[in-house]
Order: sequence, then C-alpha cells, then structure tokens
Amino acid sequence: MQPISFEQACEFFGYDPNKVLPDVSMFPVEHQKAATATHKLMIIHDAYNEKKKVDWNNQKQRKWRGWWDMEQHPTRNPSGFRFYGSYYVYTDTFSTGGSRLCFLREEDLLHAAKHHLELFRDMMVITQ
Amino acid sequence: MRPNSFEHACQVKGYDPVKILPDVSMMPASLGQAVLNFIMLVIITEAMNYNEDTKEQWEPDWNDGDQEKWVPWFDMEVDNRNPSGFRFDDSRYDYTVTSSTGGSRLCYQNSEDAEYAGTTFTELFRGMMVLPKA
Repeated sequence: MQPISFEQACEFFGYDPNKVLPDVSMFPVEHQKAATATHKLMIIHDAYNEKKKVDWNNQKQRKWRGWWDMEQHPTRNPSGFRFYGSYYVYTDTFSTGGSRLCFLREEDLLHAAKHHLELFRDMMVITQ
Repeated sequence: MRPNSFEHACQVKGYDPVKILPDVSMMPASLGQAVLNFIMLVIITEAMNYNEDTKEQWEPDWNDGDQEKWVPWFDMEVDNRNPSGFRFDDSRYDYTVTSSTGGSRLCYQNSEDAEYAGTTFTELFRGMMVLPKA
C-alpha cells in the first residue's frame, strides 16, 4: 500500500477524516498547524507501516528516519525546509522521534517526505 | 527557566493549562494521547526557552551554523539498563540539519536544558514516541 493522502490513510484504518482531527483553536496560533500536522502524520505513518509495529528489539528490522535541512539557501533550499536524506537504525537506537514517525521501508519514508513535505514543515518549523 | 510541570510551564507563558489542551476524544486513544503529549512538550519547551527576566523567547536559528540546537535522545531497546524500553540516553546537538521529529519546537539552547527536559518529562516523551502494545 502507498497511501498518498491523509484521507486514504484514514480510510485504511476506518477513521472519518472529517471527525478524527481535534479542534486546536485554543492552542497558541503559532503551534496550531503543528498540532494538526503531527496528528495527520502519525496516521499517515501508521498507514505506511501497514499496522506493523516498530520493534526496537528486532536486530533485523530497519527503522528509517529523515534528515531535514532547516537552513535557508537561495538555490538549494530557498524555503528553509527540505528533505535532506534518509538513514536507518536497528536496535542500538537512540532516537528523537521514537516509533511514531519512523518507517519500516526506505521507499515509504521517501514517498512520505515527498508527498507530505508541507505537513513535516508545519510540524517542525515555527512560523509567526 | 525550568518548569517542573506542564502547569508550571503554562503559568510562565500565561496559558490556561485546562483550556489550552484540545478535546481528543474523537481520536483513537493512543493517537490522542500522543498528540496531547506533543502539545504539552511544545509548551514546556517554549517555557524553557523563555527568559523571564528579559521576556525574550529563544528560537533556533537554522541559518546560524555556529548555533547549537540541543535535543534529547532516548534509548528504545529493552535490556538490563533499560527494562521498560524507554529511557533518556543523552543530549545531542544539530547545527543546520536535524532528524528531530519536533524540529524547532522541541529543541533547546544547551545540553543541560535538553537533559532536564529528557529526564523530567520522560513520560510525556514516552507517550509521544512509543506505540502502545496491541
């Protein structure tokens, strides 16, 4: 399965995409998009992994994560946010993202990073 | 400053700790808690990066290649040192590129603050980062 949209990921799990998102209007404005994006990405991520659980004690299971370039550059990164590369870990894993946003296949990470770049940006970049 | 709780962080930033949290009852339970934990950690980090004396809010400048951005790292592997499968391991820093899930929202000015957050709010990080067993 290659879920492309949040709606497709919701369909995969039987969620109603119109009801599953919380009202974040009481949250500070600069973080509202981040809260929504984080929730969407968690559902999308789970769909990519097709309900398979990340097992940190499984030495044969690769856990893929992304590097993100946050430095603005006039040619290579004019917006100040771009996917930079992928890496994986096995069990000697010291993580900042844990099981929620790591992928079991590199192609899924690359696919998600490409198609959901704006959600990753909303989650990681503070805008006023 | 270093809040000792989410409520303390809200107090520092002038937020109502009850009203600021969204209703996540319509969400699958494990996802709802993860989102709540993310929100609480964002507020806690915001308070930690706030200077009460100068009223200045520190935010990472990813275009400053000399500025260190510190994040807590967690050990996810069960072993004798880590029977629960989740513990703070160390703080590490980025300059312009990060693999941290939180990006600008969950990073700190120095290693001591990252360690403080990772050790004081371990359970919030766990709830955000660990998938519950089916």
